[in-house]
Amino acid sequence: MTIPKIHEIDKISFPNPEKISLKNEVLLFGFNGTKNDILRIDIVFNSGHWTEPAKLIAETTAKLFKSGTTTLSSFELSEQIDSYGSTIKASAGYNTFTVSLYCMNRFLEPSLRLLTTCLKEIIFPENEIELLQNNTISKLKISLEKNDYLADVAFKKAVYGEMHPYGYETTEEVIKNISQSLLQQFYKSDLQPQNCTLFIAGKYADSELYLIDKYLGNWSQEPGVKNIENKTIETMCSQLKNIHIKKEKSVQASIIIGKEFFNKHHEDYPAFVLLNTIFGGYFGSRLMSNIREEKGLTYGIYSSISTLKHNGVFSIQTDTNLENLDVCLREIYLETERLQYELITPKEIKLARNYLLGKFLGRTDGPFNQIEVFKSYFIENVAINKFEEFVEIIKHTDALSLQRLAQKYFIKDSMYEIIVG
Amino acid sequence: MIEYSKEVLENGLTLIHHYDKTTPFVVVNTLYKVGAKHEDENRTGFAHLFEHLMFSGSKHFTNFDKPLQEAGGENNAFTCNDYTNYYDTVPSVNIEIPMCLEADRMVNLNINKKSLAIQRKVVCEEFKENYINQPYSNVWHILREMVYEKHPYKWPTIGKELKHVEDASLEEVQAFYDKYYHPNNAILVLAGNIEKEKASELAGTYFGELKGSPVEQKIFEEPEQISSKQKTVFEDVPLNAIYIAFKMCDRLHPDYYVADVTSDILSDGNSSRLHQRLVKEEKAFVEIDAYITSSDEIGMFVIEGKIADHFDVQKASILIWQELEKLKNEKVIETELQKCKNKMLTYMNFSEASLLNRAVSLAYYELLGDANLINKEEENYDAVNSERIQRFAQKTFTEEKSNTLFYLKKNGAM
Repeated sequence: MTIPKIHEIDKISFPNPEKISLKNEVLLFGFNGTKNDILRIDIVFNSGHWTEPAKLIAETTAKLFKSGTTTLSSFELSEQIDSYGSTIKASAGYNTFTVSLYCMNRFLEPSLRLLTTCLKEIIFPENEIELLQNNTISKLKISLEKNDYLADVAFKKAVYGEMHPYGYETTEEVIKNISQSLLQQFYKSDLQPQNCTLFIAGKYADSELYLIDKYLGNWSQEPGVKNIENKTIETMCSQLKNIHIKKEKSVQASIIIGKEFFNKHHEDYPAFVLLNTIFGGYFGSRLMSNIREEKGLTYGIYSSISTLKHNGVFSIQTDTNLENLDVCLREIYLETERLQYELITPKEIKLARNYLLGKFLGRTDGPFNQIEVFKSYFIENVAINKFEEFVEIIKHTDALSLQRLAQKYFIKDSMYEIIVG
Repeated sequence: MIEYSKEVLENGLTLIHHYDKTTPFVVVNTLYKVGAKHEDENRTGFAHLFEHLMFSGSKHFTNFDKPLQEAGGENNAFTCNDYTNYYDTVPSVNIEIPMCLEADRMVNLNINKKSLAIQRKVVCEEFKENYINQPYSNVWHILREMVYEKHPYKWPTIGKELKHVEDASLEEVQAFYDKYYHPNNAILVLAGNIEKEKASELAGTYFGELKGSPVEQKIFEEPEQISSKQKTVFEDVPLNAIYIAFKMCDRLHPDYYVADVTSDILSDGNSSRLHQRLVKEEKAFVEIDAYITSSDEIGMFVIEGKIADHFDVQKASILIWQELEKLKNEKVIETELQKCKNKMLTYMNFSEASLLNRAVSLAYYELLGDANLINKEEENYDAVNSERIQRFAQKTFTEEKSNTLFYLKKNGAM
């Protein structure tokens, strides 16, 4: 028996979303077509860590997004949302604040009504803030016992600096500094219609769009609130490259190696995505094959490039038995060197490329995948037609250009090395 | 409604086909009816170790992952107490790649010393990463052992202890394969952009010739619990925690749905009872959760919570019991019940949007006895009413049937 012929994925096209302007000029992008009558609405604000008045204010606003209005307690508000089986949740990113609604279409209208209430009328009661502070401090204690958490905190602090919105650490002191006035200030300045874009996915017709316009299109900007300015914040990276945090009684060490990186705007981005795939981006990668499948030193090892609005980050992450730590580190660096000194075979490139093209195809599959991709490109200010362009570049990247990229970016001295264990 | 068709091949392999022409992908999902419950008590962790070995290559294909990745596909697997499930997603034009790979490893797996030695180490690292090196991570080892007296659910899929995995020999692993990996002990689901005739034809081509072999069906017993059990452990953790577990019905019992809704009434969402009363009003817990383990046989109903600093542990336990008593003494009102049903329905609707979820679920319900159970879920949840919840609570939440684990911080006072 031999393997049947493998068909290459030749064309991947990303569908255009429907684009609508609501009555208040808020833009809406939609991907339609699930089988079930469901809808997900994301309201994305240009906000997040980047614009918050003090550390942790964006995240706390998200957590207290249903904390009550002058007429409804937090319990009553939650109970009403839950009664329709709907979910309303808010989350704070580095450059975004997102409010999401998941619901069945037959409950769209009451869900939108409650969503609008959350957007306009939350008052952040003192008792809710205090309870959240206490519980967050308790949960922080559990996180501080986890090596991977500690490594992640140390890594971000080293790369961006502890005052940077991408790099600061949650401490008991930071949690205690949260106040009602800071939350209200952020809520009022950032969560305004002129500062947001809507993304919807699921199954919708004119009747659903009408309801969305009825509730979110009639939402008007609070008088006197200015638009969010795009300020510049410099990173303050650590001079110290090797950070080893000792943790008593650990059986394993968590390792993160990496550095500040570019984002999707950089010309090297698509080819580097392919290089990263070969290096540590999938199960067949060099790191995984060598360190897990050949040597059994870890349960998993991955490298990744994550892109943000203002830059990106490249990192390698794994956990390994303490006694194998040195071997594991040596092999990771050896793999970065091999990519700099030896050309990758066409066979290996083809394998990783085809795998990656399958991943890109997956991102075009169905409204929920489509909205995720479109939203991330939109937030990072990248035109969506770049998606297909990236696919073409990945198809045509050769061994020589991959080697040049490795030489340019895999320099050991440029990397931070964090070990906790 | 998820449409599908079913046929059984001559060798006993069950084939389920589900057509979705809106996706460019096909999922090939292979479920084997073997899980941790089929292991010997002194040799646990085998089903899961074996799942790792299934990626070691087979007689005709030295590598499993590479051809799949080259076909633009992705694959993975998971093991639970009842079964082991392998899934491959590929662009539909490359459907034959996972078909030939899955068929070959179903009967021709290449188990060798080297891959066993490596995967033993990998699994030991997984054990340490998830069950030793994290706070509270050995809870399931303790809790299962407490709740189950005889049933093999008393150990987790990762295994009772590291040593069982470390000592696994080539002969034992081979014997495990020979015993359980046969077409007649498997369910194959082909879902996605492939028409029925084509699915049937390909299944015949690749799997039709494989030889079936009788697999012994084991029956596991578990005595009824007659007196309460309690255990206290002291560990290096920052917060005291409490776990209260009760045995409950099997997955096919109508009460399963009652139990699921009951757990949601207790802890699903901010307006749920435990969250509202014990976290927000009493400030007794930092977080609290109630859930059921969806095992095929005797399941568990678990309530677990991390207790707020300085809050008395016994008092926290009493507060949980007060909520359980309320379920026994008072009927749940209609709006509260409807809320949980609506949430369940929304969840099911969103979950169905994923082709992979549909494929895995079809295989799972077929394992339970009938793939069409997937289309009866809504009805089953809808049939839950306040009387049934009350009866379930009265029958389940009794002192003598409870298992309580106090998981306390070292040097902390009870």
